[in-house]
Amino acid sequence: MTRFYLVPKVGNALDGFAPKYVVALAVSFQGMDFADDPVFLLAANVTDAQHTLMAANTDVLSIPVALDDKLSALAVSSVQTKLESANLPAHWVKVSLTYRQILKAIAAMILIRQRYFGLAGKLFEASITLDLRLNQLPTATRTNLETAALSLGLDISGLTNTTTLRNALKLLGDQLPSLVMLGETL
Amino acid sequence: MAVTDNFNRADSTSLGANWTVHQGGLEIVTNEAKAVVNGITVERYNAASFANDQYSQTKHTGGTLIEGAAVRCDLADTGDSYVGFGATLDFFTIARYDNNSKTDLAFTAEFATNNAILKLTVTGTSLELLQDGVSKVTTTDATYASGAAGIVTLATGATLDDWEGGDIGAAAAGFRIRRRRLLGIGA
Repeated sequence: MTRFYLVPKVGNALDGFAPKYVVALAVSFQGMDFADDPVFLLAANVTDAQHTLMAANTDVLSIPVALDDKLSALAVSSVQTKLESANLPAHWVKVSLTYRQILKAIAAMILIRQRYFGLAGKLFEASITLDLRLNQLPTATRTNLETAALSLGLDISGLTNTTTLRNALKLLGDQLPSLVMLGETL
Repeated sequence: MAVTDNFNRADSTSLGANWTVHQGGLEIVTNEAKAVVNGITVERYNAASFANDQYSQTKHTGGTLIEGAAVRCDLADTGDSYVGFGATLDFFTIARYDNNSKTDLAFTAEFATNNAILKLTVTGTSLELLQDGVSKVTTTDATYASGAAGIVTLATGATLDDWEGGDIGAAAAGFRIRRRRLLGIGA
């Protein structure tokens, strides 16, 4: 059964990096790392027993198997905390959304951050936070963000000087189409 | 556009002028590409340019030794690429190299078959690893948008043969042209 998690990215430059815990289970998985932040959105094909092992880890956020269920208020808080700590906007997460919608939005913003990283390296340098407006970013950072978005075929006309980085990432991510992770369409 | 290398030439301490090393280095040994000294190797083919949507495929002849194909190897040779590999006792895996440091992105709990063709494709942000035309692992990653096709090994002694790289969609475009001609369009 495919289950979704947010897990730490572990490893080192010599031996390589991977999503934490899942490699040891020797199960099929598909992961998307948060570019320069050490977190993976992970889809893994696990048994109930393996899921119990995964979910028992305090550094793992486990997503319920019923992806079309809506989030509880408690879950909203957990997801927001996990995402924001990894520099992924979460102000939009609310109880009216389903887990599938949440996962799709996360995956889309990850793709933008990955493309930025591939083009220009680390986005969240020490002085850069999600709440900065685009006109408060270094010129090169803003240009690189726009270049990354354009290279993914996205429309950047909605980005203005006063758009915050968090709103920019969400606005751009919303334009990306659905994707499939281990057989689940997000 | 497709380019090939069957490695059928005299033994040599490199693959020759058409290949550029990202890390490690393969040699020509008995008409195959072999990781003699450096197990972890990524090399890109430099004698052709590749569309952003591209593929790379090679015959896995190394048995239990991990090896496979690479795509979007960066042309500045800083060590960025996507790789897909397997072995007879190791799972099919798609990984990404950032500055020669590997991150595993996806794997399937299934082993490769010796002498099978391992093919890695990248289309947009979608990556797929196939064995003899059968899909084994897929994943999505947006980090790298362009580069060249190549090969990868992760074990000393790993051997590869009959490499091919090319663009995805070129064959389909050719078909469309022929069909238009048959219909008398655009002649």
